[in-house]
Amino acid sequence: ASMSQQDEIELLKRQMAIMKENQNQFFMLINGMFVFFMQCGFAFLEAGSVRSVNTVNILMKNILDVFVGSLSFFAFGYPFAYGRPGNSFIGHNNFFGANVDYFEKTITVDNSTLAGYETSSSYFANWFFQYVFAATAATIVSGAVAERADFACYVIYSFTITGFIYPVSAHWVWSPDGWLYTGAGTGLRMQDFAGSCVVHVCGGVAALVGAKILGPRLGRFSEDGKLNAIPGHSVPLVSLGAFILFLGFLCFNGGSIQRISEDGDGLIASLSITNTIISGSGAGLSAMLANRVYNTVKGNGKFWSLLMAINGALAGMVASCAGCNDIAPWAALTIGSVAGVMFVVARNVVLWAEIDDPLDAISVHLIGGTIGTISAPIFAIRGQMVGGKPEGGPLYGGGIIAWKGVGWNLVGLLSIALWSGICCITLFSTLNMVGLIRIPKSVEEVGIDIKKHGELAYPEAFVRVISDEKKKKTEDGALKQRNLGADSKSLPIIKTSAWECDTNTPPTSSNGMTIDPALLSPNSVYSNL
Amino acid sequence: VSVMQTGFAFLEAGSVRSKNTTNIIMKNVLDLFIGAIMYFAIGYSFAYGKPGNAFIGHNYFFATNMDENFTYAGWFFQYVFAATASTIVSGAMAERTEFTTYMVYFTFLTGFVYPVVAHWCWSEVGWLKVGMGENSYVIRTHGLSYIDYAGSGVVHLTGGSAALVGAIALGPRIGRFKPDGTVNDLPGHTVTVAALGGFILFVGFMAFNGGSQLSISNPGDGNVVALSVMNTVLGGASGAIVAMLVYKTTDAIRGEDHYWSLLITINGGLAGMVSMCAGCNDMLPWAAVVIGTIAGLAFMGWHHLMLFCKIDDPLDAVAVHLGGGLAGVLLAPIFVMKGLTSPETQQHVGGIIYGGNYLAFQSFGWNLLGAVAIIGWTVAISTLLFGSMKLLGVLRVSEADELRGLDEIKHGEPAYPIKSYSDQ
Repeated sequence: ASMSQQDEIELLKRQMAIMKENQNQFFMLINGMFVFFMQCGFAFLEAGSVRSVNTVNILMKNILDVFVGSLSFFAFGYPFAYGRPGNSFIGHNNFFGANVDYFEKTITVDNSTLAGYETSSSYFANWFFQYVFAATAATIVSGAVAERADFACYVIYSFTITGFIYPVSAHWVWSPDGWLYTGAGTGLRMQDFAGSCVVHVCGGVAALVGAKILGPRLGRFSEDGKLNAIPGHSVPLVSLGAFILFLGFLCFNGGSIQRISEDGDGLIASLSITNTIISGSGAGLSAMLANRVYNTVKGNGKFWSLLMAINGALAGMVASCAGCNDIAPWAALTIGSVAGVMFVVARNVVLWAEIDDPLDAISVHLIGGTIGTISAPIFAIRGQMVGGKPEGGPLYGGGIIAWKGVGWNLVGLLSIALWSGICCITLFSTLNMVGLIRIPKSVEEVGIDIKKHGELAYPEAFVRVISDEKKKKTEDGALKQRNLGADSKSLPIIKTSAWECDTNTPPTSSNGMTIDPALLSPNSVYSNL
Repeated sequence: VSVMQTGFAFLEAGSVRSKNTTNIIMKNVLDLFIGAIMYFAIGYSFAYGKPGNAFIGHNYFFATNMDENFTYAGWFFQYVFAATASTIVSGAMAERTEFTTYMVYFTFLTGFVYPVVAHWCWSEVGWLKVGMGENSYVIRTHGLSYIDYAGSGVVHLTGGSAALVGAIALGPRIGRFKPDGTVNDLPGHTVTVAALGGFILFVGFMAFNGGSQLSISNPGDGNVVALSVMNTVLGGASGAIVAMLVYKTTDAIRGEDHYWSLLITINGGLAGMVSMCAGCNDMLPWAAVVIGTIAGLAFMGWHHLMLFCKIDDPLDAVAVHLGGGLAGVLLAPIFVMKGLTSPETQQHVGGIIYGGNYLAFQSFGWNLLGAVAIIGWTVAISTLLFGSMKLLGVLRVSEADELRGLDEIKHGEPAYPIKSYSDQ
């Protein structure tokens, strides 16, 4: 028997609801995967910006940030951020995934939107998407503490940031219970679409505190206050990382709508992505120009700096996070250009304050995030909602409510910065007091890789003389010694020797024949340094 | 998943010496291409050809004779899985294998060995998928089906066992094991590139597992895909952290130099994700953490076992894929939420921890049988393959070639020619 028309309509509604639910989860997962890929981008940004003897260490930290972060966010982070029920300060449910409905329930269709609700809980897609954001916040800090942070310190603070500090910050702004979201009686809502404040200010403040408490790298600032350059070992790796980050940022902002099934979703996602790239471009160019002008004026030499362009662009994209869903592209360009110039200014302020930030993480994330948080409500098109209707931003006739929204964003900015600052000061000071915070001087001089990881990033180019004990263990045989980089008086001496195999004798083939070392080093750059 | 080929290429490139880098990347590129052609010609047909019998399929050769069961999307998705299985083998055979050998075994692996395994486990008539009927003489296995959602067994056990056979047939690299038995570390030439490969593999693995649902339009699909991705991340995380900790503490306990090893962490993470393939669509996240932990331990066990048996595996491919794959295949029936459907009651019985139903225990046994069958089949064919090549003397490169470096000799393209770096 054929279905009645009413039955057919009900079936169609149901299928529509299923389709929407599936689409939304797929949207979140795909964008989340690209944001996960940003971890790789940041890994290479960092790897290229540190010296070759510390490369494995920084890569290790980035990999661990991903893994420790996921366990921490699963156990504590997501529950603190989005566990319902929760109060306006913090959430408190779903620890270790408890109390989640894993099985499908009956699908009920919302007749007004034809969206499905009371289907499967979509906890997993939400968790994954929020996790990649939390991991981003934690990995910012590693840039500021590179080349000198202790391993245990890193694991502890990574766990704490993804498990507690960031989730509380996210709860305030993004959870329906959070006080910045609900307005705490003012009727205002903080506007931070993709996390300029929640992710980048939170991470940037943590980076600032970490870099300050850790102290600068050996040899970075001389006693007379002179700045010594410690350049990274591979600009191509930095560029690779930068490109990956740019790509990931598009998904970071484009995916933040977390939904693609309702009217206007596609528009907001595309507007976000457009604004992100425009803001980033403006910032990259303005940072590059500002840096050249500054250096020319100071007499440092005129250069078009690739690193300034890259970091400036990142600062611009960070600044676009807060309002990219609700500003016009010309506004994105303005915000980006300002962010790029402010990045250069901030960078020099940080150096003047003798804080050593190997990746300029503080300048990119804290300054970019601040600019984003302040500028988003100023340039907003729709602005604050009153009674379900957008009031309009200050430039679009929003009136007093729009300016109050700007004020509310400022309140949020200060609160999150204070929260992150106080927590991180407590955390890093405690680690400092127990002596867990910084690697020993002897390790820092030789390079962390060989002492802590036993794996050189480029083993064929160098072999470290690890310790006297190891030297005694090796057999007799000429140790070819060539000191590289030992001349600079202001830098610590990094002892190296030319390529040799580990046991200090050439390897033998299976029939016991000794092999001419010349055969082991063909005409390649790795074996000729 | 196709991008995982890139990831594996970089993991391998970074883990071999600079004189063999072009060679290993060439091998990865070729795996993609030979795999495509073989899978198009006969692979997909053997795996999913309808009609087919319980052992092998036999239709759609060269993508002809298609009916409504054949879709191009389906071909492509299955192809990238086949390419993944075959590229695993190259990890264990790096730095000393003849180039033609690579081409021959890619052909066989993507054309025959892997498709047959995929047919058994994933096609609608394969014997592992269907179980034996209630009229079977041997045991009553009615209702049993091999549980392997994204291919812990089908892809990774196959690749891992072939890798093991290959590594044994080849013998260790020159200088790897000294005559008195100690192990020489032959480190790769750039850990940064290996780490890049690792990161790409992690992202690709989420698609590997998430996409294995093969549909996004049915009720609950999005949820299952999201659960798979979440479990993959958690399983990888536990595997990595456990492997890293075990590596450091066992060395510390023995009084040797102990380190936080990046490569061990990456490989542990991969092993964890491999173990997730079998059941990530159907288990709670805490179970993913447990299985990932066990996979990390299994990885470390296999890592040491290989060294103990003097088998040289430059990338720990066997430890990651065989160890992780076994963990996945054996643990999935314990932790799955829905599990098999009881033919009597038509209800889901759940894994062993959900009540210890007799059918749940049987499903564990069936998965065990599946693992044994997959390993046995792959080892048998690989032994024939590698054994005959070894007898013909075409398996391994000559000693002089191996010492000189394969890049210049085989490809004429050294990876880092000094001329491009300086005037000297």
